[in-house]
Amino acid sequence: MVVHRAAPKRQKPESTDIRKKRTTVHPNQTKKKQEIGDLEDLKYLLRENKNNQWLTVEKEISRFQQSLLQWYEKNQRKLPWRYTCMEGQPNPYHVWVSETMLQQTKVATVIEYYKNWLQTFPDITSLAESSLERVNEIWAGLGYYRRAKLLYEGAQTVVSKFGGKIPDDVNLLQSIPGIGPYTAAAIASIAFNRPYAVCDGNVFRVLSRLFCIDLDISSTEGQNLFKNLAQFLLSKERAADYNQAMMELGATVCTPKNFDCEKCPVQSWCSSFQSSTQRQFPVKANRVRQNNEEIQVYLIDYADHFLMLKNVSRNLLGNLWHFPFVTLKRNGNCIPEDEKLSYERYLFRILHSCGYPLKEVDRSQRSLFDSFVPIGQIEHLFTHIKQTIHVKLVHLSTEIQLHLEETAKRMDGGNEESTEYKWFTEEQVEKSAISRQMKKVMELYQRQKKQQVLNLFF
Amino acid sequence: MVSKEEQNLATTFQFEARLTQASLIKKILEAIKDLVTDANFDCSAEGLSLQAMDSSHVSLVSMVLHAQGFEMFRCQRAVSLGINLASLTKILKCAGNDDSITLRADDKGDKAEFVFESQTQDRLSEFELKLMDIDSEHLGIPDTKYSAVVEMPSSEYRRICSDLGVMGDTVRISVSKESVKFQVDGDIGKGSVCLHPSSVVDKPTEVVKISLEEPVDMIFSIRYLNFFAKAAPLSDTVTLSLSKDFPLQVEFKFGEQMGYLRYYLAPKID
Repeated sequence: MVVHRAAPKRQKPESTDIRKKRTTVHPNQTKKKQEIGDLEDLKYLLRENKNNQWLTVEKEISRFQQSLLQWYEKNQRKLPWRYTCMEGQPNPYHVWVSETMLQQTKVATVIEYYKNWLQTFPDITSLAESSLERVNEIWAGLGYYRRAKLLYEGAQTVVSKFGGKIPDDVNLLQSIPGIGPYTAAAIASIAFNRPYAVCDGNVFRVLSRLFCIDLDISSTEGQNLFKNLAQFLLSKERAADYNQAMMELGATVCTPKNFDCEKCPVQSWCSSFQSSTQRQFPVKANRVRQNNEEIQVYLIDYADHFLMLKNVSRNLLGNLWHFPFVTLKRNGNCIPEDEKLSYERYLFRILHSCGYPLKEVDRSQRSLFDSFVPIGQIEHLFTHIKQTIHVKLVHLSTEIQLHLEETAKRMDGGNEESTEYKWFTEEQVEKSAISRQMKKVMELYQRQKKQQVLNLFF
Repeated sequence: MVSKEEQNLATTFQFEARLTQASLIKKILEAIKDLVTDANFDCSAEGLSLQAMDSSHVSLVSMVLHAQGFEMFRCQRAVSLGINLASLTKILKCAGNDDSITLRADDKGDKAEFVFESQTQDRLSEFELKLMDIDSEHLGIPDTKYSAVVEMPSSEYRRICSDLGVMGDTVRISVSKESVKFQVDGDIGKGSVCLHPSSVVDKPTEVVKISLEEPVDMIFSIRYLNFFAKAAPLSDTVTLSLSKDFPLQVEFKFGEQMGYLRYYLAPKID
């Protein structure tokens, strides 16, 4: 029964060999391609592997579910978002926040941010009524800042479109900014116990090992297969617990490298365990290699205030404040001189608009920047970029009358009209919406503050 | 009578020098490679020298190997060899401690040659290292009369730096006529080590000597002092020279007339 409700039987395709089918897809057969991963495919995939005949037996599936659920009841980690209730039901807002934070971020890191977030924004309305600036402040340090912005916009949508109540339907959920198929399934199942299987990296790994699936987990066909398989195995009655159990299993036992099969509740169903091939799964196509970047950050200090610019671009660390910086090298290749020069010119314009005498700028545009005192270098790791940050410090002379009161004023004219700059005190830097990378720069400065440099002597 | 072969060498290489023991160069490199990544080795008729600042411009390394310290030293024209120290370390790993080492450079300045020869002369290895263009600002270090000069065993210096380094980031060095005191004040507590001038005449390498114009009391980063301690294998004794509001000089001598490795460290402000 369960099986049929989960994935209605479709017309069986001609070919019975999934591999063959994968390789013989013609352009005009794209429709068939989408069928890869439907229930029929599952069965064929599994029939190839005699050990996994159990998947076709309803009783075995329910034994599998029971075993997993019992394990979860005993072994689940005590995480703050697992103890949030609203009228006897898990609070969907809490699920939403935690799931968003947990994307690409370790549980241990998330816990503090989660608590802090709920203290600042106890419910959807308080979040929706806040400002993006405030939201970014609370998020600062967690990375992938787009998530914070989307969560904020999502909250506003929930308030305006759904009267402040998070819907329990996956389609409605997906109409909210920042909620994709994954988060929608997580909210619907965990908060409302709806029968939607959640598929994150953990689940992919568990499934690929259970059935020795050698499809690339990032390919479309792989994803379809895994999604269908997950939905097929889902305990429809206890979707909330089942989903969390699968993810927990992937996070704590069926881990990428140090998996602990002895502790696994579903070991006896696992093909890769029986063939000792756990390490071969999941199959990932070669990822884009990590990029190296070298940047030069300028700490421009005037009367204990530091110049910061707002990143108006939509890419990495959008909308956050940063110290002025120029990229020196990307993957070992130097950035063209004119790119650097134009950035320096742009910086001078800002300095000038703050009252820095133009005369001096004209005379020694290059040398002023060269004369900045280096105070050290730090390394920062983004997921896809390894950044070496050189930090230079310049004290603007106090005789120069800087118009600090005009700080938040927008730059005049040109395509930089949306650029904003502001002078921050050390304290403000710590509290504002600033990425971890820039906070490290500040920490370096604070460590070095009392350290003189040799150039002063020789 | 100069053989044809030697004539050829003389015309090809602007610079050629041989040291009997590779271990000296190896130790020098160990002592500076954590502080400096790239450096220019300046070869002139006087000898081989190097000056480089660390990336933070807080400390400076200055090394001099006098020409008379070499077994053979020939310099037709001054050349500057820009070398990545990590690469040089890799090459020197291939030399035995007792091998002789010959360094050569031609006037094209795009590569340097290293020849290692075992003591028994039955093993000869040759390496070529590509050179780099390194911009470096050469600092003129004034000849200073320091207020306080402390000589102590290198091993003692190394021990103090590593012991106090676990307690905090900075060390206060105070020198008086009676003693030199290293104090650290860190998050977990405080500590200090005090050395008195000793008069153990029979063991000159264990002597602590203080010569004083006026007492000094200055603060330095322990991290850098620990970098300098890597030079301890080069010399039994180390000399610390201090003057108020002036960089500390830490000197390791390579023995009679051979040369020295000096570090300079900018003080911290209280």
